[in-house]
Amino acid sequence: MFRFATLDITLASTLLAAALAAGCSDEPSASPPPSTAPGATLRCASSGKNAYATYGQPAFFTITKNVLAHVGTELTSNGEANLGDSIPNVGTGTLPSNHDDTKTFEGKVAAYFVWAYGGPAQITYTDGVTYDGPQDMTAAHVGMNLTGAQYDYFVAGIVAPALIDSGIQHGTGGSPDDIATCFAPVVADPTYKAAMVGQ
Amino acid sequence: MTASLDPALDPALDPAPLEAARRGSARGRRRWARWAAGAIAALLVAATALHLPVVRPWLAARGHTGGAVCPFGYGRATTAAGRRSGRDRVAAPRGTTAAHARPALGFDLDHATAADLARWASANSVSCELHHGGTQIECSQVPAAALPDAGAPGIISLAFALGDDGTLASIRAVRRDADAAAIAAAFAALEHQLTARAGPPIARAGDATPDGLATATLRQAMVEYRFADYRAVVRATNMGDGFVLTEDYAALARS
Repeated sequence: MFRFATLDITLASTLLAAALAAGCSDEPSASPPPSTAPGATLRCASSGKNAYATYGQPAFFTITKNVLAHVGTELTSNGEANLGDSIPNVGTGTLPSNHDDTKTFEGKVAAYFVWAYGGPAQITYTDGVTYDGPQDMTAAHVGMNLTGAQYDYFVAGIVAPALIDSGIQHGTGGSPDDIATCFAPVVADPTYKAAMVGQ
Repeated sequence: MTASLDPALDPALDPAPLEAARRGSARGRRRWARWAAGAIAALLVAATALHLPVVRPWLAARGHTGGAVCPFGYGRATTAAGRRSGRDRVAAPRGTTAAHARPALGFDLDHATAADLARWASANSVSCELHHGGTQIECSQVPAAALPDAGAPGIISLAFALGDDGTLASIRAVRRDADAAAIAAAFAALEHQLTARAGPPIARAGDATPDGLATATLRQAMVEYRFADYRAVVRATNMGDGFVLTEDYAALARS
């Protein structure tokens, strides 16, 4: 009942892939970036404004760092089985998801979060580098073969705890639930999930 | 005295032996080239055969993962993260005392091997994929009956990670159900089992009742167990289009 993953089959396919890769750019495909930020129109229960207007840029940088911290904990505790081959291989591969070095990857993630939740389309991150927010999530996940279970695990085990750790209100003790109202609808949207799973 | 320049009169000048030596040398080079080409071809055939899907599980089941010799990165633990996935995960958060037991969906952490997992998969008609030279095993559509807690919602995904010694280091399970009550009941049952068998949790957060989970998307209940030799985390989460229960069980190295 065991079988090796299709990416992992024969030396011949490895040689073929290597030959093809040698003739290809490692840049993502040139599809145009999305024009609509998926969370810009969502309104937080606590403020009636979108998430960026409610929490500000520093909070989104904190969220980014907390997401990556949770990823680090996950890798340390469980290895890469739960996350697939993307984040664990940042800076080591030629896929859009792993060809950037760790700092660039983090800057792009931060820029995407800021833009996706109603912030500007360009940020200067904590490393002093300017990053563009609008990014095509389908193109960014090409070649990862992310499964639905891995996506669910990422949202439940990484994103939700990172938002709580970042101080986003989540309904405890009768407080407004901003995670549910202005963050969750993006990651829970089946269309958004479908853009990343199985690519 | 002068030497004759006639080969017929001076055997030392006869070119025949030189020609023969030259021919012999050329034959030797051709023979060597044939041997070298044959050896390279044999190595290529052997390397290809070792990567065939029908061969690699057989090798993996015998603890041969190829990580030390595969030049194409198809062996085990080829990334820093992968190397951390083994029994060297001493940096993982841990407690100070050992767990009374280390429950992990009926699998034996630190003892079960790839061969044991293959037997379990075969006996339960579960389909699995091997990654990273067979050290990461992901099984999908696992029926509830394949695991001890058969009353819980069926697992849609089960991932095993083997340590550097080839034994089971960690397990991740993801269950999905449209019904908050089913996920809430499974969460409560797991918490009860883990507390009774391993010891008390180190952290607990969120409302794990069906109503609490159903309140809003990304509402979550979590319980974590952390011992010197074992870590388990269970989360029940409202995903908007259903409810998910994630379970992590990991053996920790004794430092």
